Amino acid sequence: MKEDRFKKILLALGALLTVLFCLSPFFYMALTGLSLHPDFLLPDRPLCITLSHFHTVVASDSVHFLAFLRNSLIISTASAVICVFIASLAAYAITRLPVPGKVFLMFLILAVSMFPPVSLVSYLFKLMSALGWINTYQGLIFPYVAWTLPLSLWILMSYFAQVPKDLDRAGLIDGCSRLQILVKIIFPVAAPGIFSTMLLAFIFAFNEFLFALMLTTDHSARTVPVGIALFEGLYGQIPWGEIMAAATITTIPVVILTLIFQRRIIQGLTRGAVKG
Amino acid sequence: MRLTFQHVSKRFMTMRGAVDAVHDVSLEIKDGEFFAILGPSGCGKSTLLNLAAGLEKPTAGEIRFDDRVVASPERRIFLPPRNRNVAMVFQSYALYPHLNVFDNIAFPLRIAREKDAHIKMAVKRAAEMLGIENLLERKPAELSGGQRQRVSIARALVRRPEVFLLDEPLSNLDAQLRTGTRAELKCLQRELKITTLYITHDQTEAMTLGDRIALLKDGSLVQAGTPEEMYEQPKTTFAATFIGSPPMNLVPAKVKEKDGRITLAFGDATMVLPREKTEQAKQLKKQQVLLGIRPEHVTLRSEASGQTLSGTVTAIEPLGREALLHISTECCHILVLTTEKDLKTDERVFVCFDPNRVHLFGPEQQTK
Repeated sequence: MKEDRFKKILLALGALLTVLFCLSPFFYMALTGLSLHPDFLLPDRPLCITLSHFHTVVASDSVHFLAFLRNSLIISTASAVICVFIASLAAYAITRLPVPGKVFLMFLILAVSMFPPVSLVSYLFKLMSALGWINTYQGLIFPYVAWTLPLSLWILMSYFAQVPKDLDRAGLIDGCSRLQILVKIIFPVAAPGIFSTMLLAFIFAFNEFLFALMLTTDHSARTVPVGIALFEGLYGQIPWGEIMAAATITTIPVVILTLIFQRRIIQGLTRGAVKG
Repeated sequence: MRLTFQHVSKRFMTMRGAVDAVHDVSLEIKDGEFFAILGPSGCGKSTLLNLAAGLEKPTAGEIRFDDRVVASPERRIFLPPRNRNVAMVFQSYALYPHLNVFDNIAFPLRIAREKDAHIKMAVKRAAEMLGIENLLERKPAELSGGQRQRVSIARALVRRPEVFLLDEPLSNLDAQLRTGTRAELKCLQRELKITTLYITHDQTEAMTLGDRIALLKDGSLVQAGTPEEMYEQPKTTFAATFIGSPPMNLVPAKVKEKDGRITLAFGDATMVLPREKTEQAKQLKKQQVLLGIRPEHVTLRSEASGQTLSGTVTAIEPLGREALLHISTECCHILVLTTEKDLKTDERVFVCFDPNRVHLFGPEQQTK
């Protein structure tokens, strides 16, 4: 009994330390955003809590932070939805239909995702210039979809492979077309996988920096990571308070999304783990 | 609906070459018949069912529903399952896990865009037929195996299919439930008079359920007939040992002709064959034949004679009313069903075969 309790305490302590370790940067970020002076850790600096940085970020017209946030949300959501839509059609075909050269195809797709983005970005810039898509939503959405597609496809394949084939056969017998099987049976049954793949694609697009930096010129399509990074250019010195306030606001949508889909994702992650 | 397979073959291309899952099978299943397809695993029986359902395309031959050709590679005809009005019950039940029982049963009707009022009535009727009216709100995960099986049968029947296909529907149920469900299934089929194709590897199920049985092995049809025919007149040693439990004894024997009488020599015994068997035996003269005799047609004798084989009891399996004896003789191992209770292992016994119940298998009929 005693040993049990000891183990429990150790476990709780370990969990607490892990949480502290992971959350401390965020805590520091939020605190810096809230304090009047970013160097509040120095001994002679008092910690003055203020919302002025948040106010500047949100209200000041010259910062365009809300435009960045809107761009980020629209671009990330669109690329996640398009990506998962295409990936699920492909994953269905690969797991269910007799596709010739299936294995070769899968590894080709994986190989494509191995290119470092830096090696592509200059050609991508040329392409987007030629299309006139610089500084547009589609100019970012399409590269993001292409970039997240291989990984999404691989994740979805492992989920779809777990949906028993008998369900497809039952669907066919019950009068479904292939598309109806996908929409009415596979999608609902593999919903955890769909949601977690979509969230991964969303977070990828939300965090992406390089493409967004190269392919946007101003706030009409610029996303949050690039926007925040370019804050310093607006003032003479690095505006830590504003940067941290903006970063804090930016984490909120991701946290909300994760909380909403939490149960489904946990289900999904463990399932994915078993299947490798 | 009459269901006809005519010289149907299905060849799969795999990495290691072509595999004939079904090879030149011809069968005619009559309207309203309960037809069992029996065979060991990997014999192609599931493929045959998939061919009937339209889940697989045959590579040769023709499949007809009444006079309508539903699949014929020669004539480039193939109807997908949704144009065949077939229903199927799967071994894994294959219930849609995200839908409750009502929606599961209603699924085929919804796909067919039936009116809501009609769906409600049809689902209610199907649920009542199978006694699952009180489960309609539950999800499949909250049901027991037997309940799931009922739901899947209800889903199959709700559309009033013309052909009812069952793929080992009882093999995931425990033994007691299986017997009960077996009887219900038979009643249900009688009542609805739907042409039914039933796949099983269990000969008891095939014998008790089927109006007729087809026995398959390695993709080929071994024998088809009523349960009685299959039991009384097996065409090969495979049919003889696969059907009937405990299986038929096979004893190496030789046909001899002496003074115009046909006799059968096995071990240290000889047997005079009855007249109706002599024609067959004459053709097998001087060849190595197998004598088949069912365990219930072997009798025990206390004394040796010219017609008996001597052996020792190696094991006794009490079955209640009877006991199954394993007897080892010098030529073979023999199973005997007997009501005699006071035998012990290692006891010396003499067995005698009933000549009227003997089956003869020539070299061509000997298939393992």
